[in-house]
Amino acid sequence: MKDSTDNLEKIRQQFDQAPYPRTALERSPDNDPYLLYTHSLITAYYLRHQQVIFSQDKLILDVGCGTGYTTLVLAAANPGAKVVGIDISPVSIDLAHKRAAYHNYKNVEFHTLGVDELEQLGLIFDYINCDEVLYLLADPQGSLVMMRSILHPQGIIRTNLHSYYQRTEFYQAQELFKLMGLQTNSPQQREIEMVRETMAAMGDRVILKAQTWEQDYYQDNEGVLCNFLLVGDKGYTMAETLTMLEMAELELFSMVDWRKWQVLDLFKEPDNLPIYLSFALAAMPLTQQLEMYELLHPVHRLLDFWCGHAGETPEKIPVAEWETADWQQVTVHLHPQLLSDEVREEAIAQIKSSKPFQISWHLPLTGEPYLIDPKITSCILPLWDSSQKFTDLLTRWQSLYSLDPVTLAPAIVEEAQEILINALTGLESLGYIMLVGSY
Amino acid sequence: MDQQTPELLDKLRQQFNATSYPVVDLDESPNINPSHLYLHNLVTAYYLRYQQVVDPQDKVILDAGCGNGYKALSLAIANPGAKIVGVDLSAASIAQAQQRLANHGFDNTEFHVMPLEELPRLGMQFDYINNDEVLYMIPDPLAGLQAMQSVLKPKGIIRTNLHSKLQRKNFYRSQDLCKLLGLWDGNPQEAEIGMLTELMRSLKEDVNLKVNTWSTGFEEKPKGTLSNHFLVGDKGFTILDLFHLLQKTNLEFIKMTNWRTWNLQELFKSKENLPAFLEEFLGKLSMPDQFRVFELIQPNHRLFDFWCGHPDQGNNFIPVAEWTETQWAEAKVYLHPQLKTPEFITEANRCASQLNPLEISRYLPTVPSSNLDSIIVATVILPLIESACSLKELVERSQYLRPYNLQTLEPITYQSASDTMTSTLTGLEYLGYVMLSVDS
Repeated sequence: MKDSTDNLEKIRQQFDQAPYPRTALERSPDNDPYLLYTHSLITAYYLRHQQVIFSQDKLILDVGCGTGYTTLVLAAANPGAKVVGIDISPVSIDLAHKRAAYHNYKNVEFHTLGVDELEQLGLIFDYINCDEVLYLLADPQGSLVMMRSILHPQGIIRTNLHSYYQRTEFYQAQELFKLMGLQTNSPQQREIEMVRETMAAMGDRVILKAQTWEQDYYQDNEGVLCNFLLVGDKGYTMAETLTMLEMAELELFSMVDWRKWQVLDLFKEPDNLPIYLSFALAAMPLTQQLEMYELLHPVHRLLDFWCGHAGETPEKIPVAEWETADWQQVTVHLHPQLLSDEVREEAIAQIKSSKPFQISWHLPLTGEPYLIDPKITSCILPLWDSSQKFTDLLTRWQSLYSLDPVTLAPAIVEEAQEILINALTGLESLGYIMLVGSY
Repeated sequence: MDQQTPELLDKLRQQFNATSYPVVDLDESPNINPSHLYLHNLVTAYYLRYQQVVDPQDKVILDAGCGNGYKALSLAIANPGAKIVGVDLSAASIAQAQQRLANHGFDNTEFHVMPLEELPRLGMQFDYINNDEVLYMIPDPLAGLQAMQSVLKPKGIIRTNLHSKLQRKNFYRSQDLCKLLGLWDGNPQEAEIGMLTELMRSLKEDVNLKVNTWSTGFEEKPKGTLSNHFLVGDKGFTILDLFHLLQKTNLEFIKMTNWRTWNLQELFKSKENLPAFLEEFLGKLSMPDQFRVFELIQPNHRLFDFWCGHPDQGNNFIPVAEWTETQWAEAKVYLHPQLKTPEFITEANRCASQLNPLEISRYLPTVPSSNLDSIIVATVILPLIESACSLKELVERSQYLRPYNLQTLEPITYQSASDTMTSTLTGLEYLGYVMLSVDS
């Protein structure tokens, strides 16, 4: 495996010279609500188990933590957890230490360590984050096996690979520049300039240039480095990714950006599909739907997903299919990312002025604004104090709105229940609240 | 090896029994497609490899994967006096091919139903093997190429082609999608094509696969749908794959059939003004790497369509552009035989006498659009229609037709007329209209 050692050494040099990410030291993770949301154990665990766990005393690993920004995000998103960051670049680890000290994070530690040396930590993790790393490694499957070996039986790995289909043209460019000898040593300013000159010399309508090059690259060093000269960069299809996971005895249970991987969103009329297709889709497991999405519309740079030990993902009934009887046992939780006084004050202010509460402003999950009706807001307000039984929320609804607003006759229980179920189903499907059954 | 090989072969056979390929009427004559005739003319390939002009009389030509015989007919018309042998997997296609050639009066032909791998069974050796749109579809391209190599005469030439993985990437994605949806479980037919059409119609307009692989044209033409989205066995190759394949079969690359469209220099804005490191890089590239770089920068060719042959047989001549006076003095100039048609001769005479430019690319479309000055028609083309000429003969004719320099009114010296003529001929040779040979 001399080749892979060489490759690893190049990768180390690359990141020693250009530590990644270049996120400013002063930047606090508190300003990245979506990042905090996706790095929360609760988010991933709920998607897999339809259960809520707590991050207190959980052990989290950040593999390839670079300059430590994601490590801090993990620490901020999971109060009470301990976070360990590792990276092969000592320069990056040094910056990570400084970042943690600047923000006064106590529950993080960093080590200069390669993925193949993870066992040395002697720890078993509840959650492993491995972001923008795997596609650079010579043996990603081996690395997954290694991570799996230090993963708690119910633990979760979040990792990602570059999409071969989305990045095909960049791989062509990388192959070209490799052929030109620009990747023999760890690429630096000189190589970046050579990429620029080559692209500038190419005709503007030449395919490679038209599909990969942007004006910004004439100034943006990191962009050129990350896309045209990235040492070790490889692309994977969803099918290859799934095979790799299977070999490593892991199973994918959700994409991180799962909202952007919905096959139905690609159709003009999702409710009016060709009949054979509705049947095919209904019978398709998640993994095949993801393959289908990728084949139809490979627009995401990353195949970014959560996985865990094979066979640990339970069968779940989607909330939309729950019977009224099921709801009577349900406990409703607000996602902890929303549990702040600031959000609560805002909710109360909107209730008082009878205005819709724009919850997406505090936690943007879909890219679209999402508004909650003031009647619903006032009904779910107790969620900011603690989780609530569905039945208690229903009682609160009934006492708030005891009369039919049109006829002033006493409100009908079934109708109230239906309104509340619809509202909660909507909030759950977007990820703002979590619904836990009695089992 | 692929365990599904017999099954795949079976599917291929079914595919082409059901819809014979290409879809060309039995009576349509390839006379109307001069670019096919140019490509299929042995003279074209042999000249590029040996810098010699061969006579197709009695040459033995194989069309391997002849389908329903349209190309075999082109081969027969382009190479008068040659024997045409066609083989194909599909019995239905072979029957049509036989009839097509007979309808056009070609009787020095034979046709056989057989897979490529069994070619040695014919017990024949060939001067030229045409293998068009086949190799990328068969289960084992290496075995197919090996079989052709084994029945190729020492100086023979194979024309074959492979699909480009990079150019066709979107269609391969579409094929994978059809497989995922189970549309390939049987042999794709009308029903499956209909299902794909429905799927594409119901997708939003900006969905990547639809943008890149679907045009409403497909909906009227199921044929296009079939060959791109449902082609059983369709595989993509890179330039590296191509040269590995040649290496393993001990064959030597001769030229891309459309070599004029593989010019690396043309991908850059200014050939004279390249950064020094880039000029050096491009200058030092090996022949395979030149194609590889072209493919990486401009994957616009659906096919790698090329000629190859046994190693060390040709390609060892001095290119015309580098000739010294010695070569020029010994050379004979030939008109490409594909131009010797009554229509062309009439048009050439008309242009010469009426001082009109001759749109030669209509008769021999080696490049998209090309006109010859009437003086070139008169001094070069007309005599070559009669017979091959030496440089001296052409120079003397040009001096006779145009004795004076039109600007200075001084007499044109032999040397000056000769310089003009060699540069004209070099240009005409590049475009394929004339051939220059120092043969004995």
